[in-house]
Amino acid sequence: MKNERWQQVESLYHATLEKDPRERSAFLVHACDGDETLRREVESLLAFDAHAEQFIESPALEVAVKMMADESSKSIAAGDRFNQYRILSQLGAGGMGEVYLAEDTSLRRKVALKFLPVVLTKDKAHLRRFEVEARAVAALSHPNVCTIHEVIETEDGRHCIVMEYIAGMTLRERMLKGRISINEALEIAIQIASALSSAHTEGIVHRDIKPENVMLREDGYVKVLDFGLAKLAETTPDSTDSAAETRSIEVKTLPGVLMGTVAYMSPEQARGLPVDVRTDVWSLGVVLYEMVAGRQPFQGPTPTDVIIGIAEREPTPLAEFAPEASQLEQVIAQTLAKDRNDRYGTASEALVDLKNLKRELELGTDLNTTRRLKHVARPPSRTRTLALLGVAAVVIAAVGFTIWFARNLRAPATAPQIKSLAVLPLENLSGDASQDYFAEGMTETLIAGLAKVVELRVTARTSVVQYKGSPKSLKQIAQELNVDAVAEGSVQRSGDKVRVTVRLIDAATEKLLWSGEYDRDLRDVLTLQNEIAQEVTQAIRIKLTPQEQGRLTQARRINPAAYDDFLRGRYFLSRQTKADNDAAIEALNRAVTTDRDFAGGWAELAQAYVWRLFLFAPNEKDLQQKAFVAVEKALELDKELPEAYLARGRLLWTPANHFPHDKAIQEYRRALALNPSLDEARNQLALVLGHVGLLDESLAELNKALAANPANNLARFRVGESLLFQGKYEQALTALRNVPPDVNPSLIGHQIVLTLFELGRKDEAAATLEKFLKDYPQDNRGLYTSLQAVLAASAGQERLAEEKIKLAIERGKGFGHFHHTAYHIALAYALMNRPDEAITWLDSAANDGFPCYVLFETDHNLDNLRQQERFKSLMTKWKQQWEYYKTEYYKTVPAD
Amino acid sequence: MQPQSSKEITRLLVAWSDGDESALHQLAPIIHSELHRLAHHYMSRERPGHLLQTSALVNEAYVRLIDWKNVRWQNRAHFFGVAAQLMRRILVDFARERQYLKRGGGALQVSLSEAASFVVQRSVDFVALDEALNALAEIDPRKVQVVEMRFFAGLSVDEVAELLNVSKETVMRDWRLAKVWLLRQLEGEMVVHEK
Repeated sequence: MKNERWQQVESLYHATLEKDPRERSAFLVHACDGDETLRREVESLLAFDAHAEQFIESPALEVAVKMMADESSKSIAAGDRFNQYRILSQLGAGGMGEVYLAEDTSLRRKVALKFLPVVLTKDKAHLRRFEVEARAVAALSHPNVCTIHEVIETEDGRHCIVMEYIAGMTLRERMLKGRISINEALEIAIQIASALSSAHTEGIVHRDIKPENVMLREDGYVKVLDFGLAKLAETTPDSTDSAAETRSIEVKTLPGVLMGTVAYMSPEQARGLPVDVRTDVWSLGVVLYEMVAGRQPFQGPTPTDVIIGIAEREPTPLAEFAPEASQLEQVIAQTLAKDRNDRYGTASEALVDLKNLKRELELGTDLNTTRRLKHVARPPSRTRTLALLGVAAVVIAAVGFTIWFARNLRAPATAPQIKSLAVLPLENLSGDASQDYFAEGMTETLIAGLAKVVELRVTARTSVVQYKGSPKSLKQIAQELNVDAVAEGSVQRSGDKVRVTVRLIDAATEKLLWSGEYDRDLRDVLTLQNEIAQEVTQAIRIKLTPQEQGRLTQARRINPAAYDDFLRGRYFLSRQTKADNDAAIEALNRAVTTDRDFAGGWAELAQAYVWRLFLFAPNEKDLQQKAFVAVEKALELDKELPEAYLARGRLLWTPANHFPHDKAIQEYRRALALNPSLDEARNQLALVLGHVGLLDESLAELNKALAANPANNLARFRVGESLLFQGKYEQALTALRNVPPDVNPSLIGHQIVLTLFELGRKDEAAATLEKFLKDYPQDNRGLYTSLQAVLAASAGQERLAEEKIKLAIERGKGFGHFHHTAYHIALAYALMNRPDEAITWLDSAANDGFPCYVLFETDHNLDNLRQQERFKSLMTKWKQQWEYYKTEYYKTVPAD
Repeated sequence: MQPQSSKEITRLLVAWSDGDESALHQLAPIIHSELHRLAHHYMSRERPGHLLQTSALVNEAYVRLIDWKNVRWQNRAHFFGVAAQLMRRILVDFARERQYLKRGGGALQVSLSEAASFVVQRSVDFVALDEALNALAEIDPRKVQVVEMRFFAGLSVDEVAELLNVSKETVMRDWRLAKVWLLRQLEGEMVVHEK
């Protein structure tokens, strides 16, 4: 049908393309003059015009070659496992290997796996060079750099980069979708420059900056991909085929060569000369130009033409494509200078100018406006010296509510070893006491961010709160909290904006290690939390693990009202009265209603329910259900919420569930892997470990809990309890007697009685017991009553003992946590030399959640049973269980 | 591939254009082995900044396979037309074989966005493209020729213009519209498949 109709379509198609995009539609309507079929045909073809740009541009042979090259790694399918990674689907394929979406089953998060072509990893020396580079990239830890978690070698010898999974589109795709505004282009360029600048500081050159390597996340974050990959594919000069041969071909006129990649090469790169950081500066310029102009600066029908353009021609002034972009010319000129000595020396220099430019454009005024900012320490400079002095130290000023942060103080060369720190309550600068909850909440937010760093011990809020407004010196406070450094600062909130200042002080020398000031939108508070944590760790030179980096980069925006309610809820929750708990649940419910996807809000709500369940309403079935829903909701949204695992552990480890020790251990370990300073998780873990007889482990956890939070008095009680179970009675007694009075005395009392009894101090034991029974006459677990039975049995008062046993059972009936009472009853029967009943009760205690093998082994009150066959066989069983829990405990410890 | 093969290939091409089908069976393995050689190069040498290198190698392969400078051919346009068709046929067969082997799972893919590493790749296979070209031939055979020469034989716009004896602008317009038409055809099909 090469007929008139097709000719009509064809000429109309080209004619329309010549028009300005805004006029095309009207032009077509007019040209078709009512011929709707014709108009629709041309329009439907036009719709594909943008998408077709790259289509079949690479010659078929090249496509076939790539496919063959990829074939060797095509055998990966959904469900395959590599180490802890389970393949979910393929994301894409490029020259540098195939990329798959996978789940990290241990951290339960999504990651991207990039399998490198086998040929590239065959050369071991080459591979090692790459691994060194990958480690350097992994250490970058910058929010705009796609995080490399690790490089793994699979069982079949393939190498695979495990990296952050980024959902979004490439800058190329964004460009195809439509024109990018100058503001948006600048924002993207700033983020790319920021990524490059952090890499350049570490001496890492990207070498392949192009729109395909830039991802735009939905939340506005720009992520630069494939840092360091260029290194892997680098040709070594002594390769088999002479480079000269290929180069000579490159220079010839080449038909059909890929235009996409050549276009971003710097002149030195295109010539095959050695490159440095300034090649990235060039490519950044090309990308920026293309975003604004809608076309590449150097174009041509063949790659050779493009290369000639790169080497010789000046790009068309941007103003010809976008008149409003004339202010960009200066930056473009300094990125696209042929001689790299005329370019910005590093990306951070470009970054400074880009930021200034963006600010100017936003304000529509000149730079004078910045003087309104009182914190401008130094005027933004583009001198090379400054940038070379320290990219990390560049002072960037931005007005209003964009970022202002300063790192004018860098860690001295001989930085002291800071392994622990306390964040003192941030000062509420609003002058309004009703905003205290906000300052307290922000303090906790900072603590939570820093606590993500495993190597760092961060003191819990409950331990620092006492220092609010304290006249004590920082040195003294640090000593009392046993920390190397102290962070202090202030919070000022106005509406949805927040200003946070933080100073980090070395406790020993009282020297300022680092300081930062941040003006942020409350929506970005989670990102701020990560950022401060990152900067602090950088300042004290703690190397983040790839996992930590992952946790410190991902943060979503948050509804300010929801966050406010969240902070209120947490504030109430910390106070642990029933009215406060009611208020906490109310506020947290509001938070998650306002922002249904607020993972942290759900986790905190779950915690609030759990506390209510434990402290005020143990039998509310409905509450348990609600708590579980909140936990699951939180984890569905964010697999890395330590508080959610803590809440789930507590929900699981109940009498109704028959105390699933192994499951609870796992939950707490998971929480602690994410936040080692979460002392309550340690305390709960120690509780479970104590019940299954892993007493050394329990004590170790409790010591860590107390290091993170010296104010965790419940942990002090558990220390005494564990010592008692270990048979270290003297130490146990001291520990138990020193538990501060805010812990429920009846809880401590029964173990003091038992300890005294074990020490043979029976009179003292009896007196203490009677005193507690007088104070707590209901004895609703039957604990004291059963101890009365023990004392009676040991005094030979068999009838009294039996009476007390009956009474204890009656009192403890319906009370789930009965196994300690059962144990006491077993002791009483053993002392009465009634082994059958004793063993039955012991078995019942063990089955009901207290298989404390080590205690059964050491408690001399059970000696009457030791020759019994039934006892022996049960002990064998309990020992096996004990060993099982031990394996479970150590198994779940994640590799640091 | 042995250097002396290029003359041999030229001979086979001529034979095939004269209607000798058996020439195709002798040519296919030569091209396949060239593909393997290139694939090896590609994987061992290619690096992101130097995709050009692969492209150069591919081009070099085209030059070797089709040895256009040394062809003393009365009708160069005819010769290249034949060579391009032949490449199309061999590559499509090559893809079809693989497609058959993998039951459609791994169709030879043409990446729409180069190195779209994190994006679900929108792709089309050679076999479908072949069918779309057949459809396009019904409407506008010259555009099919342009696609064959540009895509399958890897010739530049200038070269195609010279061979077809039309202006560069015409080739560029043909190329642009052909790509759009083919893409629409392929994407339309993909939509049907998804239903």
